[in-house]
Amino acid sequence: MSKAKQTCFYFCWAFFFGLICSPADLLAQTSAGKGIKFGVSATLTGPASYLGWHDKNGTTLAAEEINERGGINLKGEKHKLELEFFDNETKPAKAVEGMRMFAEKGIHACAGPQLTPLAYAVIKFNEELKVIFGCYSTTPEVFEQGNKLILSATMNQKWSIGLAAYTAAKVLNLKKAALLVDTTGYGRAVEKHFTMNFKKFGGEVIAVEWYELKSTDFYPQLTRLKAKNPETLMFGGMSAEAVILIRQSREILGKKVLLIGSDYFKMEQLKKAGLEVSENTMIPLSGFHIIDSPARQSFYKKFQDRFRAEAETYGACAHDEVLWISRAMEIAGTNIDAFKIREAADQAMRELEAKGLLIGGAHGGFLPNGQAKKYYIGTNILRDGKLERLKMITDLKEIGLE
Amino acid sequence: MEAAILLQQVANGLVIGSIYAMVALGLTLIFGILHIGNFAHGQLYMLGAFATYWLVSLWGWNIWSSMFVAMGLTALLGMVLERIAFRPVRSAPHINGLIVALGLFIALENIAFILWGGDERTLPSPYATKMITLLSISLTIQRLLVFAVSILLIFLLYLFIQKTKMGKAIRAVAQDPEVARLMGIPIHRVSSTVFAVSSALAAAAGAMVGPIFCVFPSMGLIPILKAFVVIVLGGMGSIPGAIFGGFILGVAESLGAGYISSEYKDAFAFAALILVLMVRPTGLFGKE
Repeated sequence: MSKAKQTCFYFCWAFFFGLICSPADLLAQTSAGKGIKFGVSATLTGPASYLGWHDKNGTTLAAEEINERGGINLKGEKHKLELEFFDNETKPAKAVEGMRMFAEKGIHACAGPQLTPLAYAVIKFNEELKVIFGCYSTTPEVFEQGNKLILSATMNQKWSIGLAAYTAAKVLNLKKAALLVDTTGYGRAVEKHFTMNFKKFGGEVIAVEWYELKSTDFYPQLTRLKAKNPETLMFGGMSAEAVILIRQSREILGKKVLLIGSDYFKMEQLKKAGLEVSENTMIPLSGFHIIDSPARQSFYKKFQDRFRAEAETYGACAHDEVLWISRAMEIAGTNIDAFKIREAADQAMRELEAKGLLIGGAHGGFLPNGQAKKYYIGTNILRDGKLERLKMITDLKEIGLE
Repeated sequence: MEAAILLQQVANGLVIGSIYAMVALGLTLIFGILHIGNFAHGQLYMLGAFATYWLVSLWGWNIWSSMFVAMGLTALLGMVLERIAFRPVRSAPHINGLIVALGLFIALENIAFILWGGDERTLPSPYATKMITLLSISLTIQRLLVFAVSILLIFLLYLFIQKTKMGKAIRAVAQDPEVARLMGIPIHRVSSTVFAVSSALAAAAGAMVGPIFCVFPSMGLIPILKAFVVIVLGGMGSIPGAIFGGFILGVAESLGAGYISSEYKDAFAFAALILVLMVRPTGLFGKE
């Protein structure tokens, strides 16, 4: 055999083997039939893996609900919804990689990435890639960059942090606050909104300390804050640090200082840290934990039965994103034209709200960028091992924030 | 008040420094005989913490027995890793050993993620929330125990290295493996023993900090990075260097974060390293 023929022979065999050894999803795509793929970019590993676990399970339940009803109706035909998961590892670069991967696979709608630093990274590219995504970041600045293909159906820090500042200053009459926040966009937004609002309500932020996202040793920062003698300490960090922060804060600052947790701090974290240690901690509770709708009860029960854990806001919000964007696809008549899906999103939200199918915490009223306008949100304090309600609002005007 | 804050920061630094010293000691022991930076050491710290956690949570053992058993289990694991991963590449270029170590680091962390998920877990300890105040320094008993246990283990290691036959053999192999072999010292047994001892130290460190910093699969990353800084700062392969380097690093970090800026806390470790290397390139206790 001549050399050229030999080369061609080997090349053909290599091509053949390459084809049969191709990644499974290539084969899956060719044999999937009429399923519609929906992306889920979740933090399955990394410091925020706790949230990612809830996202994965919440979106799974949403997809099952949709498929039990026959799937998504596109132009008169029913299609099953298939979730395509991507682990963004709580890293902005991976989140961008995930978005690109979705676009390459022809997936133009997804839930997540959910976290502020990841959303900031992705919003530089998703319009160019034509991928619309739902995001439960509570940082308002994420949604104020003019990006048309990002949707939010949950509260933002103007509400949660504003209410925390109001409660500390006006309800509990505390005037000197210190902040301990992470260096991500989320932490910086917490610092900005708390400082602004606490001052508005007559208080003063006397010190701010920072930490890197993967830190677990906060003793130097807490000792530095102790020197300033604050009446209250506001945390702006992820749930992964909550337990550690609570314990270390109590050790250095004592129990008299009121601890205020951000929207990632839940009863779960207080229990893990120990209820005795967590005494005198204020945490926000929003929509999902306040409104008791049939849809919420059903979600809660399904989550508990299936995953043997208590459902959290994160999973509920991710669940809503799947329902919302899927319904928007049906109205728009497309699953790949992200801009048409966006145009249909407002109508989709109103329909789902009217039917009481959304459970993540947004109830009624929407801003033009798709962000929910009305929420139920409260501040609660742990006293004698139980959460007591300090304040609840449904409108920012009630506390003079709008 | 200023003096109280300074004392508190120094106490914070000594506690965290004792952890760095314990992890770095294991690392420097391995470096001394194999001349390989064992990145997987950070995962042995993590696995020791998880072993302690499971023994306490699932079987209700007390934290001390759990820690000792975890040290034993991790020591065994260290010996297995030495046999199957590091011994085959002992004669190969150092880069091969480094790649093996990196591979183990990634593999062990991801196995932990698959088995136990990414959630942080609080290692129950009766000492974690009990407080004492000494000379205006606030400490939980757990943090005091971290410091005390570290000192005790460092002392026991010193006795082992200086006063026992195996310790003498380890020093001989660290000095010159070829000559040690000619003297009839069983190199493989020495290597296994070093891995067992260093793994046990890492596991003890992980078990002691579990109640303070929580237990999760990626908890080994920061300590191993700091441990590498410590062994370079103290002198590669030097045991006194690892001990003093650990405490110097812990206190430098704490004081830097406390009096300069907390935002760049981790940078102080590297700043201290650069300063020491500028004056003494082989490290504080390194040989010329």
